[in-house]
Amino acid sequence: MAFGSKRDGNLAVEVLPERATWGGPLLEVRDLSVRFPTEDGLVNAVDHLNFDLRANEVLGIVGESGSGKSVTSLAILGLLPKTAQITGEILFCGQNLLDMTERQLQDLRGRRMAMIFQDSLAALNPVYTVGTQIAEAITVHQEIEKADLNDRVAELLNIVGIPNPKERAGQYPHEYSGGMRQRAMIAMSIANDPDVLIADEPTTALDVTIQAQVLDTLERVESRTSSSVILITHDLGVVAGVTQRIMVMYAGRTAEIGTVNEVFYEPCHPYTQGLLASLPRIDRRTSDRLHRIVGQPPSLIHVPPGCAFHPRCPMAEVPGVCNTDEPPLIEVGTTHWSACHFADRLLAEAKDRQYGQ
Amino acid sequence: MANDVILPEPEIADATSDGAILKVTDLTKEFPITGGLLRRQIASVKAVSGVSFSIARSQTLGLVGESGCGKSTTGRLVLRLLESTSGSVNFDGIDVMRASAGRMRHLRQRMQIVFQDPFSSLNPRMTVDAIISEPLRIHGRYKNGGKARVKELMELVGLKPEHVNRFPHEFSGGQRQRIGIARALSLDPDLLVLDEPVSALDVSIQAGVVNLLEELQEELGLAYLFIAHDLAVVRHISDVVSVMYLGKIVETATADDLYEHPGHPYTQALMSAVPVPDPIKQRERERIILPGDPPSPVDPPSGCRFRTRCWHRAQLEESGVDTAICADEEPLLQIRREGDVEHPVACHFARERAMV
Repeated sequence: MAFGSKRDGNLAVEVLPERATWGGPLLEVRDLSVRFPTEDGLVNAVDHLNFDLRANEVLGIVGESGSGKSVTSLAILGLLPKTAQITGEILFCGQNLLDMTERQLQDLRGRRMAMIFQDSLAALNPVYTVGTQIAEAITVHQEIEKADLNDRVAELLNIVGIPNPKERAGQYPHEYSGGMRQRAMIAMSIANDPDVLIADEPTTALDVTIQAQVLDTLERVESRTSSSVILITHDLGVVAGVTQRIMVMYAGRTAEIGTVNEVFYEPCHPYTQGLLASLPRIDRRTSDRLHRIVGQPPSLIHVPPGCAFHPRCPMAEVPGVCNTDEPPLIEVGTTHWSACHFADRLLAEAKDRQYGQ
Repeated sequence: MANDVILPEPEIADATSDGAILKVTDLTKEFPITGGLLRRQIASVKAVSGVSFSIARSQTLGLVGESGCGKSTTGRLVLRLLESTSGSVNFDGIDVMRASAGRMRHLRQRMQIVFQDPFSSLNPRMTVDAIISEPLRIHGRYKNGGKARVKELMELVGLKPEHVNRFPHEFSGGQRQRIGIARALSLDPDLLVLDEPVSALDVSIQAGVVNLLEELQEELGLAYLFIAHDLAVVRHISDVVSVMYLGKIVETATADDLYEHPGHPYTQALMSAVPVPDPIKQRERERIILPGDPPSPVDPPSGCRFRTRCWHRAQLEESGVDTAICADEEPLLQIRREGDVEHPVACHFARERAMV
């Protein structure tokens, strides 16, 4: 154990470098696997996952239901149920979160790492005012004068674009509109200026005009605080505008990771290509049929051997390397990796399409 | 106002009114709110307030809007799953609102619905065979080759006929939605009301169901009332699109015309809010942020229902234009002589502004 006794959680804080003095990636996920034992067998929710979150970046994690994106975020925050079998490392400023005690994690959560959940109505307590709940998020971690506290709450509400923040702080969640509730949640999550902010499908249940309000707020928060953000979503449109890098997940593994432009304009994994082609577009006339990825996402109890995507892949060579060898992440550019045996060929084709037009 | 020329009747989807299989005129639905000791009606929710449209055979009308705008209620009124407060629904020459119970029973074979949630809309204790054949049995059509019909339907929607004895939980979301579609098709309907049929599905599965719906339409000549909040899916599948806000249609046009030349400030805000999966384009796009939520349909704003959130009105006021008409007079859904919008739009100050 890198830290002191279980009773003294604060030790973790002293040992952990502050963001300003830490030069490396804020988060380094190394070979992370999460398995859940069930009656039917072991569910491989996350399978040997590797990625970094750098300072001041917005990383998008994209995947369909069951791809492991939410489990990954819960693993980072130490919120998985006790039955989960977790292996690998999650390094936060160089320290492995998986080795920390619950006390130490509690000290980090809300202060240096925070989460925005999907359902803001369920995440806010209906019997306390919004201001009280934001204040609580602050006082859990800081000693602060009452007057300063109220100012800080108003300032936070102002950052997320809630008008008349002083009056609004005294109102209850039901007096807020849907978009404002989600923004109040964001205010709460940034209350202690965390290093890492994880937003798990923050706009999924919202109407598009409300989604626009929330995305606008996230962008503003990103520019006004120094938090790094992990944005988890299934909506490729949402990540296109607000993230710098994207990781595409499939069956608990990384399919592709790269800058947002690389992943969108030069996708080097057949799954990413299929996803992009299957989207109906609001900005294009289309008379053709949509591209369809055949088959279903695999069961995480019986993940196909080799590449998990091979049963649905148009370019899989079966029998062959695709159903026997699990593809490693192949570097196709200095910032771009793809877990496909044919990544190099796909890159050449993508470049042809880009510049051939 | 000078730029308001009242046409005789808001003829929606003018070009298609010939041979329309469904014609909805001035449809209204108010849900009573009761209160007090005597449970008297004290107010009403004006869920749908004077909606008109028509759909031709082999045509898809997309109905878009945010939650609570009345689009699903409209779908249910068309099928008379809800009784309307006023207005008329004409299906293939038959007045649906006044049809007798017996007539309705017959009519329902020709108008079917597919629901959003493929998990709760299928009975978990019935096999696929029982689910798909139930409509046939109810209408006494099972004895004449019902078994073969079920297999045929399963093939039609891309399911394996040998799975006929399985239960819904053995299928994935996309497959379940196909079961729902097969059930809706079992009686050879002419019209399908599709209420958010792909919203609950993952992206890679959604494309398959959208394609299936398009193929079925071509093969069977079905008319679709496609209700959804996803503007991209609606553009892809629809011939004509109507945008609803707070119980009213604010704009109607053919799909490409609407998306390329939107005229209503609400349509424009809606379109600007949809993220485009194209990073360079998306970063440069202008986003119109509407303040707050839509107002309550119990007490909608006077005149134009959108005026309380209208960004265009706010801009006009800033530049000194008198916008009193927005509060005083309801803008009718019609083609406006002044301005540059060539399709019906319910705005006194309609002005084209491309957003995608």
